Amino acid sequence: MNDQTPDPHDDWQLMAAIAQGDAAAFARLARRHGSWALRFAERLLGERAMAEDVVQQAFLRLWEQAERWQPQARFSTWFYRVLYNLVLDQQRRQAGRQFEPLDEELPDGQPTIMETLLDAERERSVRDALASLPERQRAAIVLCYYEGMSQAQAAATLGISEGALESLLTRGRNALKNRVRQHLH
Amino acid sequence: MDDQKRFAECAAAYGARRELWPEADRPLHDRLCTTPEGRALLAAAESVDHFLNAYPPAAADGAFLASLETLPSRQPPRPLTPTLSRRHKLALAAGFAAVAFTGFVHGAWIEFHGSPATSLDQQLMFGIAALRTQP
Repeated sequence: MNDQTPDPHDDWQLMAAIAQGDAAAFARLARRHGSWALRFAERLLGERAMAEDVVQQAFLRLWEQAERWQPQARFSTWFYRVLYNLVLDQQRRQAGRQFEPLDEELPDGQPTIMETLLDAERERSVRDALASLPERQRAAIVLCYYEGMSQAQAAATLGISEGALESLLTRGRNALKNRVRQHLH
Repeated sequence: MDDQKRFAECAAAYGARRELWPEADRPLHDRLCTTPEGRALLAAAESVDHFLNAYPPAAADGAFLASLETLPSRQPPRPLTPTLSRRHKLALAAGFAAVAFTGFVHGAWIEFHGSPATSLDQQLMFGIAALRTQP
């Protein structure tokens, strides 16, 4: 699921230490889970700066509320949920905000620069396509496709049944398929 | 359910990669992925997978991760006493309400009689009577 798949019991122990105010345990947990948390938030939000904000808020919440954490599930499952809820809050705050269009002007030049620009263009197409999906469809695709979560874990993160998850995935991927067709023609 | 139909559903929902399918449906993937219908469905699913693969967010930079690790040192110290539970908050609110009520009754007694009450019983009876006469 993640870059690193740590022993969940180790995460629980770190959380117990964090609940006692152990900043070194917090640093270890942040090092272990910070990267995937950022990648997940960025895929949902489509923007690095906002994703960094969300991840920082999530870790801050973790630090402040570690005493109340109950080791009922994997730490990562719980943390995905925290992140997802913060992403939703962020999206509500950002609703209606207009994004500045990227500079369309292409510099003349080297093939390597052209390749980079084409990659950036492709990446932007995917980011825009994901952003155009309803929030739950987007989250289902990010959790299952990008994060490689099992259906049970993804459904638990979104608080829905596995059947509902499959339906979200089908609708989301269908919408993306239409975007791909538009992209190709 | 018809295998072909389920195969199509899985390809539409989970894409072409076997490892992303539900465990229970993976044998179906193995069985039908080489049939002409299966290949066509997987190719259609793969076009979406390929599209999605063009968006790999850059890795987190070291400075950001370092800033996460030192987050606690930039926060005010956590309170030493644990946060009050709901029951404790209710008890505290009831205590404050009782003190406020007693103060109110005491003030009303002095206002009415011109001198402080001689006993708590006397004062409480006065307060209850005052509340009963409220419209």
